[in-house]
Amino acid sequence: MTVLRKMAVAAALTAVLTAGAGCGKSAGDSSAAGGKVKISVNGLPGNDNPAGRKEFLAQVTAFEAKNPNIDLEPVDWTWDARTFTAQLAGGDLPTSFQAPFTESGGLIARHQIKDLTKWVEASPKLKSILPTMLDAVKGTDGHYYAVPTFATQNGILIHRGLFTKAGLDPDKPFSSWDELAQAAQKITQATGKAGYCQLTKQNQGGWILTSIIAAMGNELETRDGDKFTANVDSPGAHAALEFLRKVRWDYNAAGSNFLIDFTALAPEFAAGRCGIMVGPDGWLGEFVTKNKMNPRDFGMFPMPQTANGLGGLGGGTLSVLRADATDAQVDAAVKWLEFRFLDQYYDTKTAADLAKAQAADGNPVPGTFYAIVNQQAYQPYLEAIKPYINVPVANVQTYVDATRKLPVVSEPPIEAQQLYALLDTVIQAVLTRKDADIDALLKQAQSQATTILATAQR
Amino acid sequence: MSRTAVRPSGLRHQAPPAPARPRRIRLDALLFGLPTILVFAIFSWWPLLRGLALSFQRTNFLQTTWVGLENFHRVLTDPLLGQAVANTAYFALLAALFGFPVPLLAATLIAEMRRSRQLATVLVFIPVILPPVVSILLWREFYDPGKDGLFNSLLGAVGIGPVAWLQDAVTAMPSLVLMATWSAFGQGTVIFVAALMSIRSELYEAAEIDGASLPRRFWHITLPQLRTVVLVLLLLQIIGTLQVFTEPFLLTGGGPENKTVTVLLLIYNYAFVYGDFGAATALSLLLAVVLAAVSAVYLFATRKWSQT
Repeated sequence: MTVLRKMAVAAALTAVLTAGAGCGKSAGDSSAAGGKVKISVNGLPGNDNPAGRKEFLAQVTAFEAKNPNIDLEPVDWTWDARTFTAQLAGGDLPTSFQAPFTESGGLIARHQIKDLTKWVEASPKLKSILPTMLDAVKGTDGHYYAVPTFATQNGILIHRGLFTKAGLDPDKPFSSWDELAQAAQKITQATGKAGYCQLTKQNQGGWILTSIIAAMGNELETRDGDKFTANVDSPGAHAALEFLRKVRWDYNAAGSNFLIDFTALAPEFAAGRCGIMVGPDGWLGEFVTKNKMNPRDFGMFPMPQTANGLGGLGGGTLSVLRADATDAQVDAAVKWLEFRFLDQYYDTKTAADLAKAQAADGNPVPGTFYAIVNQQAYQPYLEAIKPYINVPVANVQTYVDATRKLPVVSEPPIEAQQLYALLDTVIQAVLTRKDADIDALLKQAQSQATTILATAQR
Repeated sequence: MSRTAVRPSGLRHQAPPAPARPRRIRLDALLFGLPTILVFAIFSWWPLLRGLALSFQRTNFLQTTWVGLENFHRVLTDPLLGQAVANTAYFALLAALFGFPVPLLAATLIAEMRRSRQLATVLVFIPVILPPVVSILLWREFYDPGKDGLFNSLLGAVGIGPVAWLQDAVTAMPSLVLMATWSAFGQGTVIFVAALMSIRSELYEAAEIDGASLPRRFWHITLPQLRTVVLVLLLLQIIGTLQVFTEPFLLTGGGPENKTVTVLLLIYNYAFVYGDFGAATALSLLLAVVLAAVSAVYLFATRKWSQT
């Protein structure tokens, strides 16, 4: 055993856990003198992405020219749950930053982000974001704490190349989960590759299973007055796990790796070693840019819904502000968010310029197929970016059409990550043990989830 | 012997011992040590004190409130804690039983080599200098549960498997121990080889003349001569294995079914997945207390052996 290595890890953990707890500078420190409001915003691409960096800096210059009283400091910062708290403690967070949807519950519960209700209500552009998406990021108190800037719904991701090899129609969405399981079996039988792949680690398995459970009629938490109670042991959860059991043990079509997270699964899918998985359309960027997938092989279907299916689990990226941001800073940040993320839906030149830069950098355009604003605003945007579209949009048309009608299901508002961790364990049991007792596993998970929610809402 | 014998000449002019003077803090010595003291104070002692305080607080790093023993209550009632403690102890036990003897045996064999001793030492040390993430990536391929995985290909050639390795509740932890042993045994081997070289060769020569076999020479000469090194390395190994983190974090994420969740992984999850730094530091503190107790018991239990 490398004692020194272990000790170093322990020391690093201890140091990170504790360092900076007492020192921090508030967002107010960054308010510049001379009547100018200074805010820092994340999103500046690194030096490894010169085209994107140039485009971002040009946007900053244009914004500052339009708003001479705002001093914008762009920073190369991306969300990392491991360093977030240390940066918060050290006062190193940008005033406005982006975080995944799935983190919003925790950030709100810990009061680490600003209540934006006043600003959302007052901004016609922010209010033009689809109400379903805005509702998905509300706190349990009904307040808005975030602005969705990139939204999606989970769907069925397919590898069209494998579908064709297996004699399946890559343009015909599944009407049921049974049909999907049978397709997975055909892929494995015809190609020897995994038909269906399920994430199982880092709470990602629980998150994906939550999507399937929603499509089968249940959510993980139910509101009971002003509290939430666990609903992990539900008919939808039973059906979802039964689906996994069938794909794994009856059809032997789930591959062989049952301890896998997205980082490990993405190259498998991109390389055509996995036919079907559940996830958001935004993963296309990861497949194409990092894992060199041919965009033509990528396709999407909507999630099959049972008779009582609730819709598609919402996800994406949120813009949030430090909890200690001043009102003047929020004013400035909201202007920036409108300028950066929403003006493209109201200004075709902005849309085209952004799309051009993304395409030049080798990113898929559009990066998401999910409309964050209503169709009245979205269609002119699509028209404007048409010359730069570099992914076959027709391959995802059934998903796009369905998401216009499917309701958006929010993630569990209380301790979502802990519930996902519980479900990770249940999924691992079902996929690795043929004799796994789904009833008993869900009963135990329900009991643990009840304790977790009760503790969190004390 | 006469008491009036002439004293050795070297001592004839020896001055009487100086009277004890009160200790003074020398300014130059203090200045010399100040940078080190400051670095330790800022990066080691202060975080420890802050950690101690944090374990009694709830904080979002914007507002902090004192919550008494609530964090300790939370971690001690966490249903995963029992499993994490059992898993960690199991890892430490397996590593002590199977991992610890490996470097000792490797060092004994290397010390017996007449030629290429340096080359052998370098070869066993290579896994130590590999960055942990590189090792983990290698072993992920070795442990690929499909029939094309490296280990499964080898086993398949003799009609065994495929084995699920990390994905089976029974084999997951031993698989982690095997990987950890491989990546670390070179370090222990090098220390043992150095210690073995310091054992007087006459002991072995006499034993060889008496016809002692290699195992007997190991048991009756090597082991007793190395006992201090063995004791220290075993203590460090126990402390290290009770803090196992990298292997389960990168290879299994604690799965399958929490069978490889360790105490340090739990601490990590509290802090960096759930953002509960109070619980994380509370459990860190409890772990530190347990490690201190284990070390004390170990030193007490082995004090006789280390002194004789």
